[in-house]
Amino acid sequence: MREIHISNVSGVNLEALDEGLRALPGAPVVGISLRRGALIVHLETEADEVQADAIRSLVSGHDPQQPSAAQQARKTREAQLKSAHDDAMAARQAAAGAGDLSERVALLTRRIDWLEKLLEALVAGEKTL
Amino acid sequence: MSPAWHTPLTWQVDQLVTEADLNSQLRDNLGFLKNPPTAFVSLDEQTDYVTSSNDFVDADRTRLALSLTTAGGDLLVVFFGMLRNPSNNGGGSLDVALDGSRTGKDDGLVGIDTGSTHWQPVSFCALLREVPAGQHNLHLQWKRSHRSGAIYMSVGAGTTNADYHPQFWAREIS
Repeated sequence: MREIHISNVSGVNLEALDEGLRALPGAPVVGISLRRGALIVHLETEADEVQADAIRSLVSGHDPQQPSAAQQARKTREAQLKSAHDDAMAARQAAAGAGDLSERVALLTRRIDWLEKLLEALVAGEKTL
Repeated sequence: MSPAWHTPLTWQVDQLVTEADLNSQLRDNLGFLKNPPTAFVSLDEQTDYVTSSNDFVDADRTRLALSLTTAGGDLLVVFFGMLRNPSNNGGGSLDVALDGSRTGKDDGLVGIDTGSTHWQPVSFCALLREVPAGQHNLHLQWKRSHRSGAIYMSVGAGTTNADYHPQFWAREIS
């Protein structure tokens, strides 16, 4: 296995950088490690210099503020969950003054929608009890 | 540093016991048993360690490394620490490389198999059998499992409520 060591690294978004490196053409990347301020990129033994240069270039242009696709998806789900939670709380308030049965069912449905999203987040490990 | 180990003599009737015999057979060998070859590290670093490697790699080639000169026999290798892989499907494995070759096979010696944001205690107490006499180097190796997330090790970096100090050590025990 080959390794590329890059010293004095700070502010790495490990998930995003890992995703970016694995998406490189030919992707000889086994993974990355961070320890004592150094970034180590682990490569397949057969990785060549062209691939190594592409990796160094990607690392030097890494923006830790830029989320990975999975981080972006989690952020979107988090926003959806918060929105559903706020809506469920509003529905709870409105339930007291609800008139007919269909209105009450509609309000209950909004609360169930939040619970569904919450359960999905719990199962995905994005929320803990 | 341990005194040299001398293969015990078989004593004969009327054998003259010399100063050298006593010093090697009693002093040195008792000294060796009291202070066997041992190497020890405990971590106290600035930031926790992490890897997303799918294959075993050195956790820290400089700090999580042991070097000792043995008389030949069995080596006890111990690690304990706190690990986690926050990915829902993630996990991680640990192994020890003796002179560059992994001692555990397949997925290593031990690991965690469930992703969690919570730190989980992980330890092993491995016996490496019939290690030849001479100088040996041991490295702790690790990898993530299920090709998911990244495995973290708490190394005394001041993380709130998770400021743990792993230990990695080896001792010749036969």
